[in-house]
Amino acid sequence: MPELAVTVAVPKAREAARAGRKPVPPEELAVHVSIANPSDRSVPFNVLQAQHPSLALEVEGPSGMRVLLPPPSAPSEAELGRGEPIEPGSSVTLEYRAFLDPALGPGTFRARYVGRVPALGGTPDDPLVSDWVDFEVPPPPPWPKPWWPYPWRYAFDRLRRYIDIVLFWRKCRRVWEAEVDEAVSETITNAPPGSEAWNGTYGWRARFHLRIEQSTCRVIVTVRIRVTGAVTPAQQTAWETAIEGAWSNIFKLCAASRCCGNGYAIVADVQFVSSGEHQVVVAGASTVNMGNWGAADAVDVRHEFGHMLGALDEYFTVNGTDFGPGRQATGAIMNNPANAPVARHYELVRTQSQALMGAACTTKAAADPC
Amino acid sequence: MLQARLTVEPSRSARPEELRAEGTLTNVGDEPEEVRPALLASPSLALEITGRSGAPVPLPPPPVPGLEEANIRLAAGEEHRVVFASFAPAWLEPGGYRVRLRYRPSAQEPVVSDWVGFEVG
Repeated sequence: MPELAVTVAVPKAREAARAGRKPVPPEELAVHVSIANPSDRSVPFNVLQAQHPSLALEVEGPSGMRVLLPPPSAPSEAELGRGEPIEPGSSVTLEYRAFLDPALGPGTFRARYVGRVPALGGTPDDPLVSDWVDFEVPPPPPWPKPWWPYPWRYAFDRLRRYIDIVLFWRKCRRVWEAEVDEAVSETITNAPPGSEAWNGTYGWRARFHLRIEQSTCRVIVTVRIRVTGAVTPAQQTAWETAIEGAWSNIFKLCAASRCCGNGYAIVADVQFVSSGEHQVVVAGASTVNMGNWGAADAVDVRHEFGHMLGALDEYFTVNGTDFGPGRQATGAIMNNPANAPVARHYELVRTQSQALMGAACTTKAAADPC
Repeated sequence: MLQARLTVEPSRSARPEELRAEGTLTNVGDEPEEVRPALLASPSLALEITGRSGAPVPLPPPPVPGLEEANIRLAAGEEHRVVFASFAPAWLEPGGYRVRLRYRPSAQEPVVSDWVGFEVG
């Protein structure tokens, strides 16, 4: 439980609502955050870091869609430190102004403080979180009406329409690309008698290239693998076919954007390389972990590929969740390698895609509507 | 009674995946011993790696349990040998490490080898 306590208020929005006035435009809203120390000891807190709304606030729009905030500026030395302690019984107040897009509205939005690191009062597993605070946002202002009379107004309107068409067309041809390299860990416990060897903490790096294409409505996840050991070209092809078949076109990302209204199909692409790899795989007699694959195996390698995308194991107890024995008939691929993945196995792909596109994404089955 | 030994070759490599370890479980007792080869098949299950400071180095996740070979019966004096063609994760940072073989067939104290040092870089 975090030692600090946090409250959030949006006073101008509250006053406008009480007085029955129109909602305050987002660029005029200020979010007030108060961080208090009710404990009996000093608690470190970095006010400079907390002043960045994108580091400390979460904002959601109507229907719960996350509103992505602008990136913070490059940190200074002071912003990277643990900060100054908040003394017992003391508090600090932060005010966030002019960080919301003027074109945000309309609708009911909500904001809260979330500190997921010690410098912001919490930890990844136990963040410092305030209650949500609602505020209304008015419709964004329309394009300004030109003051010049007809026919110039007509000409301007036509020109604006053509600009919209061109920009819309260009928007649906965008491509985003990024290299993903994330540290992943899991702790397995509760292995049954005789399987205690599985209990322990494991770590690896999920590495892949992410490419999002609006023109084809696809998210292409490429893992470059350098193979050593004895494996034939046919066996390598069998690996590739098995993996791509298991992980491609099963799920899609539904993004809050005008393009690809039916979602971006997630496609897995395995490339075997001699250098510049994301992962090294040693071919051997059997598949025994993410880096050691059976040359003749085309089943368990599908599960190991899931680890390369950041998915965790789902047998025994993993990070506190009890999944039961491995290789259950109805288990998903991270429990039973012979079966299909489920949406949560693409979570790293989803969050990275969301960050790239700057639009909230949800993972859905390929056949489901967005 | 089982005794574990481990060797690493080469002792130094710029590429961690080129390090090879060979482990041996020997029955040094008078009675036969049952050995479960599945517990020795994966470096993630059978090896422990630490950095110079002693901090454990997490290995990639182990294989999904449920596909096991039959136990091996070791007569007195017999040994079971396992080879880990590539036991160190490719992302290991340059530096000195230690590794040992660990055979853990139950909740009791595992059978472990001596620590063996190796270098990456």
